[in-house]
Amino acid sequence: MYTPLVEIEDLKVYYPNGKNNPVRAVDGVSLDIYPGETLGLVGESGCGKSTLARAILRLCESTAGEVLFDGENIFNLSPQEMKDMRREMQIVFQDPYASLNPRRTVGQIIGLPMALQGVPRKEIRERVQTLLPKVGLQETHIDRYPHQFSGGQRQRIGIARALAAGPRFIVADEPVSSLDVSIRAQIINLLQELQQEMGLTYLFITHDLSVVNYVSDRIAVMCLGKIVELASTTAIFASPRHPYTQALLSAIPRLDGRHRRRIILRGSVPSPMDPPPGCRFRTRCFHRAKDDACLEEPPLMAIGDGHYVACHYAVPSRQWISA
Amino acid sequence: MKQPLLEVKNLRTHFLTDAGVAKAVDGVDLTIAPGEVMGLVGESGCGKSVTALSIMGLIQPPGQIVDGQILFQGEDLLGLAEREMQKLRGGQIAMIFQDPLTTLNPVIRVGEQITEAIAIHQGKENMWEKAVQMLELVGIPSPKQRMMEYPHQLSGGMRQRVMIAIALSCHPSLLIADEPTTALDVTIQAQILDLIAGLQQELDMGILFITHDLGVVAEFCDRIAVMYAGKVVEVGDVKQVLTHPLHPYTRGLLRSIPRLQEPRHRIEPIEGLVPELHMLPPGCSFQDRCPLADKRCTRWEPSLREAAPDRLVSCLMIP
Repeated sequence: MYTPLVEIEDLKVYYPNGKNNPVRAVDGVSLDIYPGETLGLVGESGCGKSTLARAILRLCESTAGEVLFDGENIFNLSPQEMKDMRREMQIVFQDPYASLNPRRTVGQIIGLPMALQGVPRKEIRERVQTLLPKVGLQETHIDRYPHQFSGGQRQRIGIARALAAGPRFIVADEPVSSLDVSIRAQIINLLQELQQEMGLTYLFITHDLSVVNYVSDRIAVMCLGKIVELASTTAIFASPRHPYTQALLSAIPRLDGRHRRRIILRGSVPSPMDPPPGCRFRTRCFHRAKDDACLEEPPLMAIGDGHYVACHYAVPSRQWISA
Repeated sequence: MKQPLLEVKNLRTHFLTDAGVAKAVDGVDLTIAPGEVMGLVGESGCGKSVTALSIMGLIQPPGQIVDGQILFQGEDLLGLAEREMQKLRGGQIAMIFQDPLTTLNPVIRVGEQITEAIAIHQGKENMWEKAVQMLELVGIPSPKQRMMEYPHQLSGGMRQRVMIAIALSCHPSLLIADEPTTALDVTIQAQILDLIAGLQQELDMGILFITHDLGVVAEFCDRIAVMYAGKVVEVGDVKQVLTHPLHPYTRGLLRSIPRLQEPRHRIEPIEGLVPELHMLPPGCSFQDRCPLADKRCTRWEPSLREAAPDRLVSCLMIP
């Protein structure tokens, strides 16, 4: 068994809202991320995916829990130690328009993480120039500004910036969601090539299930601040056990998908300020919703083969995908 | 043959910008039969929304319709006076937009926004009751109470239902839906698509459904029109086009999306970028990214023609 690169233990991030009920964006998440793998994190908007990602990188303060990187608890690090740690863990953001400073050149944007890590100024330009072709840009792009590039090219700049410090772990937060389909494929393939070449570990956050199916080794499904199912990509798609996962999968519009059975969930998503007591999915669940047992919160239980599910009635799937 | 509900012929909508003339829509042909759901797909900037706004008569300067015809039940909309167009718009032809948060008025109660449309097209008699019925029809729980609420009090899915209620309140025969589910989560998207499909059957509307998601088209539409750089490049039956695409752009699009059934087959991007709309190359707009292109494609502009039964393709290289 491998040792995990990132271990997340009972992580909680609450945002106070001035009243007694804080927004429980992340509410007790435990996850291990192994070296060289891509862990996909899926869930609907507002479920806490991005907050979880930021908390793992210590880009926002956590309320409780711990995150170990290579065995070291990053919440105990001093600012100086944390700065060194940032060399190892980087992030690619969703919006390549908002995440690049419009008044800096590509060279300055990609060079900044290197400068912060103490790379001599002379060397920085050279290193940026060798990095650009790796992400599919040209060396001559170094003195241009972000507005001179298309969305896909900007995302390449964002990826180059994440790679600049030579990280082992990259969080990709919806890296292709704002891109057009034909460009999306270019960026997905680039991320995969870089992973193989540099042995990177990814936490890949998305709401697009066909993308996550394509890139991930394992998938974690998040619902209102909790992980409700975790398994290999094959297992999640072939035999999803949590009713929420089943509903998500059946809702994906598919090219061959006319006249198939779909689960249409009733009702709307509860507010994370006021989640229902017990199972988070109870109010929208389509089989056991009225059962008293669901008033008690189901823990994430192992059901074998690295498959975990948080449901009192984790029924075997009825093959939603092939149906 | 029955008269088509909507027939767009050689539509050209250009925008006069400082950088030159941006040919956002440059010769679009499109036909929708009564009760038919036509999917219009393409990437951002290809002219999908401008086509929709042209049909609705909502093009504002610097945009201008410079050529073409838009026949609605045989009548050319481009020849109508603004007053006559207003009667049709929101009545016989209705539209729903992508983002319900920016298209609903935030300071007016939901009920008033629905009754406004009813009052204009059907008169004020019973308009409140009709509005409540519409909210009920689109599946909003406790509709009487919701009538008194403001848009910010509703969730994204509920707001889109309100938009749909407004659009359908006057029983249009043509509904233009511009990315109606793109801003929504998949489970909510499934609810809304289910709702539109049900209402389409019930009211027998023709729908022009604009989206960039081929999965949505496959599940929801009867026919598909693929747009690239201001032109329709392929039209046909949804199933036929998605299983046997003919135009190199349609083929490229289908190869570039991950499939659930065969997750490990490698996706192939379309190399290169969409050309700038004010600097389109002479000849075919897709030539720079096309694997089939040769010299002829830089010289002659292809036009839509029947390449197979019930299939229109605009490409010189397809026999």
